[in-house]
Amino acid sequence: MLPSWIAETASPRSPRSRGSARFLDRTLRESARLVEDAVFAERCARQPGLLQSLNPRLKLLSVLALLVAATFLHHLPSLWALAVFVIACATLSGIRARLLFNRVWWFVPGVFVIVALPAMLSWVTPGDPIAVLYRAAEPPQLGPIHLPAELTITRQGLASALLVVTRLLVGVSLTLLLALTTRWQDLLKAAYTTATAPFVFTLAMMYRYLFVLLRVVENMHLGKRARTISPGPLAGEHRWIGGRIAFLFSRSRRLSEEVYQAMLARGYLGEPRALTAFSIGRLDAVWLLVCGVAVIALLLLDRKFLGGLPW
Amino acid sequence: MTHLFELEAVTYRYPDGRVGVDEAFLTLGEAESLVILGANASGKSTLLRLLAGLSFPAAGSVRAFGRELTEEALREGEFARAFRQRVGVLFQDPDAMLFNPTVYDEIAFGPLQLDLPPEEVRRRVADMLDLLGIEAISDQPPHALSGGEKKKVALAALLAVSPQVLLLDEPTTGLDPRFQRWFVEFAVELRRLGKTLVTSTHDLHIVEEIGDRVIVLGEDHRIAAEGTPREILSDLPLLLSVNLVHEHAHLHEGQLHIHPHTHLHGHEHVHD
Repeated sequence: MLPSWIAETASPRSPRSRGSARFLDRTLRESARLVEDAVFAERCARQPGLLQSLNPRLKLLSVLALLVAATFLHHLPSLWALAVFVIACATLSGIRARLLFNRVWWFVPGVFVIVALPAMLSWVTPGDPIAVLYRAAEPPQLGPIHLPAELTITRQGLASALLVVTRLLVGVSLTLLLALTTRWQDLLKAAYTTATAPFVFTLAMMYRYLFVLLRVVENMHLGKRARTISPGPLAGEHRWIGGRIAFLFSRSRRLSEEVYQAMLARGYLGEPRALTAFSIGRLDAVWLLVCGVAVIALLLLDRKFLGGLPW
Repeated sequence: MTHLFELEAVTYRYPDGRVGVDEAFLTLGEAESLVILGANASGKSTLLRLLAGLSFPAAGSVRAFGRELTEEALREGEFARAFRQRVGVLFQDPDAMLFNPTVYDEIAFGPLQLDLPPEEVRRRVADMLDLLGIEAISDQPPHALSGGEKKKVALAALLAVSPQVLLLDEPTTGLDPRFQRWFVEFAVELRRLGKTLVTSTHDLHIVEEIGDRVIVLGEDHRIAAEGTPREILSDLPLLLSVNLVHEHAHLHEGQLHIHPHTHLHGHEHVHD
């Protein structure tokens, strides 16, 4: 027999706060964005283009070679030349340069403040001053520490800061280009060798189960949202979030045990194996040649034709 | 009949001390199809894991292919490899089974563990993709698959090592009627090929078609009964006592029929 109150529908209470709803919305939005990003990367990697047509292992090795070359370039023009090469490759692969910039430039301010800004200062990189930030008659003292009497931005400091930021931008663009033009599973296979097998295998499983757990998180939040008429007190909401984190941890632990059992059941004896095929086509050979020439030309340009300061 | 598995007074306890299976006696013959029936949490999955050498009893013994199945025995490379080749497990949650980046890699995983040459691995994968009609999704990641597709891929991955014994944990749970039908026909085909099947389920509709022997686990985690599908399905008091049917299941001419009911005026029943 159902209780009589079940026939009545309660009138809605006025909402107390939007704090929890905002948190739920944000979590759901972020989960959806992660899936969208994965789908977008998959679509880019499947579209026809120069980098998409290359053997993934060869592509990985060539990008690594270009990244190593970038660390040996000490002049801005040679790094810009490499950036032009990256943009040309992106265009030939159907990836718009604008997309590349949008995805890379968001972290420039952070890098600038943490790495580049201190490097510009005379305390870190002494040299010819181009701007004085402060000058004191007496060297200031901070407890037992004696600070220099002036703090300036130096020419050498500015040059090295610009070099660091540019190198970082070119490096990240290259890596992003590799990620956008190679399917995740192909990238993992490309990185698979006997030595890297455990690492690659673990990484593949992490990526795989990220989506499973993401769905659990999404369901938990949707369930909560569906039953939230009026958000409760903040402390209660915090308790709920803490409880869900603990639940997710326990769920992922249980899942990992099950996965391990499934691996054992299919003959896994502690040594991961994979089916890899490595065949090189004509385009791969041309790409290898172009990359080799580009690396040598950039290093020659950097060492022989540019001297002194990085610009 | 040669016994592939023999369980003697097997009791399993979870790490927190709860009993999962209590004093189970069971034998499994070659090319036999055994169905384990039981309500939720009666110990069906635990019993399958004991047979699969993934869990080990607190008391009693599990013998497989003439040898006691212990953690030590399964640490021996040769026995472990032979055992895993002969016994395949389909997990209830296909997500636990699909841990590779693509469907193709998933199916190739088992044959690769058996050290088969790459050409043979490719041939088996191609055969499985064809057999289960999943060629179109061979390069898809598991998170992009539907529930039915995941089950099919998990089955393909399991069959790619061609095990002699297939342990299937609730293979039709949560799937649509078309897949359930497909699975029944597939299981019948496997039986015809001489495979030994152990299927845990609480779906009474598939029992007669896929099994030739049934054991029933009670909610006390003990084996409550054993018999042919017809014997078990016609024993209504038994099915009621182990919570496999509700009180409105009916017997018509010795056959169990479970009808959807609408209750009107006391005990008058209207059948769809």
